[in-house]
Amino acid sequence: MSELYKTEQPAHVGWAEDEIARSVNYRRLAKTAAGEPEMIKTASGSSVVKRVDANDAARAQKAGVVELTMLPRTGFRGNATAEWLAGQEYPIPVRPNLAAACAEGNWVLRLSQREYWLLANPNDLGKAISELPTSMTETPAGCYPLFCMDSHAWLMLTGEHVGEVLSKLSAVDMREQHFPLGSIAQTSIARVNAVMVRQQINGLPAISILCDVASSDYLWTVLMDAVQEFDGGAVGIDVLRSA
Amino acid sequence: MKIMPCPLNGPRNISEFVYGGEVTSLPDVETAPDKEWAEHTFYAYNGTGVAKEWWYHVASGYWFIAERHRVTDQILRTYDPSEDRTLFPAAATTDAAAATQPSAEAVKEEITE
Amino acid sequence: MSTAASLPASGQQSRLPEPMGLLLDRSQTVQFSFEGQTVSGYKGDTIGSALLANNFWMWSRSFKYHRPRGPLTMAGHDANSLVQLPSEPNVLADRMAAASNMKVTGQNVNGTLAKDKDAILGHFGRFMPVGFYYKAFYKPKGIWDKWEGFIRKKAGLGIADLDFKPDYHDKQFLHHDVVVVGSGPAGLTAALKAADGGADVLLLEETSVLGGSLTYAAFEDLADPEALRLQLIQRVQDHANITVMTESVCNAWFADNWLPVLHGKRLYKVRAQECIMATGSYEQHVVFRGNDIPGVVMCSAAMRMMKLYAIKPGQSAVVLTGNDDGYLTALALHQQGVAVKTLLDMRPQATSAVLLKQVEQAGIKVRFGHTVYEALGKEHLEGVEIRAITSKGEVAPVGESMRCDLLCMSAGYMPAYQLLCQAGGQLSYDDERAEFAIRNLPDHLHIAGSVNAKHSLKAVMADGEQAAIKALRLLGKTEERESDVSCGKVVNFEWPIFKHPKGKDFVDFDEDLQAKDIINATRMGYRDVQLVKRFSTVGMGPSQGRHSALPTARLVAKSTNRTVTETGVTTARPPLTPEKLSYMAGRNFDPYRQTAMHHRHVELGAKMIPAGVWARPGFYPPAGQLMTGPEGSPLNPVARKIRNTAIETESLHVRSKVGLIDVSTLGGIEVRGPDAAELMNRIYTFGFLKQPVGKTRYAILTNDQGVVVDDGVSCRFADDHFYVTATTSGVDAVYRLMTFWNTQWRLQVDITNVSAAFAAVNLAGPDSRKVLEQLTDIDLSKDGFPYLACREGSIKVPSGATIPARFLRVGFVGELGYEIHVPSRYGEVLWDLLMNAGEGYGIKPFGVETQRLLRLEKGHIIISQDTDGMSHPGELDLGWAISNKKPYFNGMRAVDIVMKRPQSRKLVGFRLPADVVARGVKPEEGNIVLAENLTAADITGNVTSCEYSPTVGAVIGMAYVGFGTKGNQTEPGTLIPIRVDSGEVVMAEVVEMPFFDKEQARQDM
Repeated sequence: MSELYKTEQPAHVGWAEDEIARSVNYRRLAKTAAGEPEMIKTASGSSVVKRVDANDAARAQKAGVVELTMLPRTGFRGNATAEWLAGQEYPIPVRPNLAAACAEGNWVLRLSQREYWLLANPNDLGKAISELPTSMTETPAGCYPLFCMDSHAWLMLTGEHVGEVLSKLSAVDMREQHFPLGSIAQTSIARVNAVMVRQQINGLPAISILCDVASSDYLWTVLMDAVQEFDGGAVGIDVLRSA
Repeated sequence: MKIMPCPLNGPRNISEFVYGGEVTSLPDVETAPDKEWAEHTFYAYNGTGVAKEWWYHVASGYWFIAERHRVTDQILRTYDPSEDRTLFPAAATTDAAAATQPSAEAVKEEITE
Repeated sequence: MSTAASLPASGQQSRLPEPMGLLLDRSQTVQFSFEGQTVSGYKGDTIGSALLANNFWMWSRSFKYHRPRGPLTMAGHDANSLVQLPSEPNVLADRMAAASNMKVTGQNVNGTLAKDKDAILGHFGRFMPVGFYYKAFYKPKGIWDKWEGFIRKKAGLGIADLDFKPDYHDKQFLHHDVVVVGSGPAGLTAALKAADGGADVLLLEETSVLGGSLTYAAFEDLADPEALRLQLIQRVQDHANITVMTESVCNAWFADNWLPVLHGKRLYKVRAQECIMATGSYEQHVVFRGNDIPGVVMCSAAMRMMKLYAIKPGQSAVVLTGNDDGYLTALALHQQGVAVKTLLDMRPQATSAVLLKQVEQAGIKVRFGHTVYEALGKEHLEGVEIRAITSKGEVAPVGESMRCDLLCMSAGYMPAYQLLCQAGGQLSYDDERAEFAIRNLPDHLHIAGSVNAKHSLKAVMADGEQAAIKALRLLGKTEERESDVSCGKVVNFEWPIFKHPKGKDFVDFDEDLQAKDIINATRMGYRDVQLVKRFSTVGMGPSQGRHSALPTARLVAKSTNRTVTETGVTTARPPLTPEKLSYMAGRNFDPYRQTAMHHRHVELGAKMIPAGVWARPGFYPPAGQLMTGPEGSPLNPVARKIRNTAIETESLHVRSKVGLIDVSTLGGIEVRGPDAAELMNRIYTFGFLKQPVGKTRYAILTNDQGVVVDDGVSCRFADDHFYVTATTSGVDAVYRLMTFWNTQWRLQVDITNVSAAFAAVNLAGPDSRKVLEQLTDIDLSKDGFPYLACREGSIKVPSGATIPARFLRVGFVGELGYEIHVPSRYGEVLWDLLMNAGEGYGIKPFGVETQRLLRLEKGHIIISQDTDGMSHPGELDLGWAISNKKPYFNGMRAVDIVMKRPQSRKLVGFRLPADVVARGVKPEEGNIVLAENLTAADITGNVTSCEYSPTVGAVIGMAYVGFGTKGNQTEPGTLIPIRVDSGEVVMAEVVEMPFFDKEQARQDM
């Protein structure tokens, strides 16, 4: 990346010592120009940013970026997976690359014939998802828990400009008319592989970005750069939660 | 930028894919003479006609087969390996219903229904 | 006035009344300087039009002869209009909008534009024949080096601003059903038809206004083109399905309609389902002596001057034409008060009686079968010499002179073929129409309008509509079938080339190439048009053959007795127009990867080094000694000393106490399921079916050629659960290989790449057990957790919480050590916990460079550092890691075959004698190893690793040396000659590996 775009993460400051599970990006969120953001604990006991500042809602309407890496998610793969998930009342999208929202607000992503990822509902901060098994000894034969809580970061773009923001980063057309609610694209954004999901959360148009966790610092700088054109910026999870 | 129609992910820039070589079968590991093995390893067909090739979609980790015309470079057809009757002469098992990407229209209908 | 240029430039002359001046906003003026003189114009003027309004007709000097040059096309299509702005060279004066306070100067001048000292070069023309540079500086060898500086100075175009400040450029992807390139009558019609049919249309226009030829041209079949233009663009602008981008250049065509479009500070990458190129055509000049003198312009240029900018192009004009459009130009000039002295029609007769009558009614004298033989004047046109055409390219021996200050010429048109030829389109020449047509376009690329040889307005618009119907049909939006549009209008004159014995009859204005230059090139044997181009440089200038391609093709065809179709034109390649590097450089995506502990290394002052896309700590220099940037390079002796000291210190610390290194970048693959062991067994060389649970095994991967391509550690945590590590750079390929084969094998196994999911450290050194004991409940005793065992357990956090962890007892650095792998979210805390727990034992972090030294001391190879594209297991002494009891593994047959063949080299350890070290000589990676018989200068191998080891007290290394067919340099004690960077050959002694702790006791503690 050219020097023109480079930003360094601030030094480690003001982070609770008992915060043992950390997003790679926590420093970027620990302090902003507006001061310390408010934090909130997820169901698994880690922190995500609740609110960056008083203008979160306005930014989120245009082009918000939410860091949700510590919000629970998981994935399962194998021939027995669909049946097992259906048995727990999760909706099974009819085809790969489609996502379905559960009644309680979690999302089920179907990535292939036999691979499903589950994304937590911001409202319950991931309670249901965090209780799902993480070891293959706890799942039926032919259903293997995946590692997307750690292998991937979860960033979310919100607002009316999500399609335009992503048109600067990805060769896949993710404007709403070509990438409607529930669409999934497994593709490359800004040269990092990611799973993109079109959602609607708390009335906001949103696209979740599940990308390689080691590249998420890089992708954060890319997203921050891309949303500037639309007066967007970082926002907290509160914009995704119903009051 | 050429487009590769991926059976799982739909049409994508070819930069999202890795070429995996022609679809061939290994000589018999036990009985094939060294020469046959060397030819299998080092010789590639260099004529015209339709090539049957392995391609890999990196972002989704998905292998599939593409048939490509060696002269025009046109990609004639892509499909899930389970549909290939030379690789899997018997009726395909669990992969038989392998993903074929729905058209954008179909996806829209699916979701709006 | 006799000549425009002889008048002092005294501010803006009066402009033509409206409706002339379509682009002008006469309520706002702009003022800028040109060569130090003040120029004033209106908003909407280009630099060029404002210059003309202020009587500046000389804009530049030509490339080779420094001849005065002025407007030719007024469309940004020629190199005559290149001027210099302070921060930007090669600005097209007739394209760049004029703005106040611009400082415009001429370029390619020695002195000033008006008094260019190099103008004298024009008189030496006969000493600078075609291929001059090519031949003159070819011999003797080395002469080019002497001339290069001088020639570069003479040949330069403009001056780059070395103090430029980078500004923000970026890129965007766009997707449309139909992209229409060009907004002339064909493009507008096509866009509207496609949009009406329900397609999402993008309409691209390179200028600032829509309309193309409707903005400036006159038409025989339409009295008021402006009314039609306004009506069409109103519909376009109101259409919900059409996106319009003006000042946007589609600069190339790539496979499957992938179009780079330059607009503002953004490079758009546009994907079109269907693409309609309505790119129009370039008016062609007539080749005669002096056809470059300012005041000689294309007919369309004169039309643009008047209609777009309200410039009166001259007082008295001659029009030279080979088609009806010249008549329309003559009429327009006449209407705007220019005295048209005569209209020279190269054809024997007119094709339009109506136009002929109109011209004659205007009092303009028409002469058929006549041409201009020579244009007269120095800095501006003063007159022309007219001759009757006697046969193809030949003229009567005498003619007559006529005074004029404007000559408008039209020899016909050349389709804007460049983008289409990039797409694989082929040009074929129609002898009847003396015109190129384009064929063999790809399925989803269409052409319409004059680029498709349609010239009457009616045919052009019908063609646009038919192209849109075809696009709609292919999109599945209509069942209507397109039909061919025919157009009988002929616009090209067959042979508009009138060679003059004294030359200066330019074919290519950019490169100052005259008719004889092209002919001479063919006589020298360069018969192929591609070779003519390379030899003569025709078409290589900024206008890229827009005007030179057609006359060159005709001249080469005639000179070599071939058809013009056979001759063809040279290959058109991207980009279409010069492309600023900022479009490429803007917002380039350059991903980097960081481990969960990355910021701890930075906080500790680590020297971070790139490892593929990762940044890794190389070593941790003492406080205040971190050198970054160019001065931190190992080539800097100061930086090198800091590095050497740091890794020596760190390595001794690991050997004596305890160290910690971040190994999170290691690849990791989970292999789970009933067939997990079977998959491992088929992929890697070792046997894995009987690998005990809780044990690790070294895993070597060979490829189809039997070459070692990756290695790792296989951990078996359960019968159906393997976790195998892989090299940082190799893991993606290993994962791909495993999934590739299992797509065919269909074993019951799940393969997951978990490289990024795990953060990992190696805690190494005699005290590592004592450090780790504080943090886990698992039995770490020698018997409870022996060397090469693996465990699943947890790390305790002071708060009482635990972190799930995997423990591997490894020996890569040759000390008691534990690799600890935890989910990435806990990586930073793991680092902190270990650093805290190790405080009492003096724990220190160590970097990748130190780790490389430590493993070298133990003789452990690093794949791709100590191996290359030929390294088979035998060369690496890895035969022990190959199972010969199993039916198959990846690369097995190739390994068998290569290992049966006579070997020629082998990897060994070596040690450098102290006296060589004392002289400061050290072999580097890649230095070659020679055969013992130095006179043979036979290379037997190369150094792969070499470092000073404080533990061994010597410079040690690994190298491939001769073996088998290349003698035997492998026996310990053998002296091997190594040629170091300086060229000196030093002798090193082959020693047995490992260099340290031969009993391997330390890692087994």
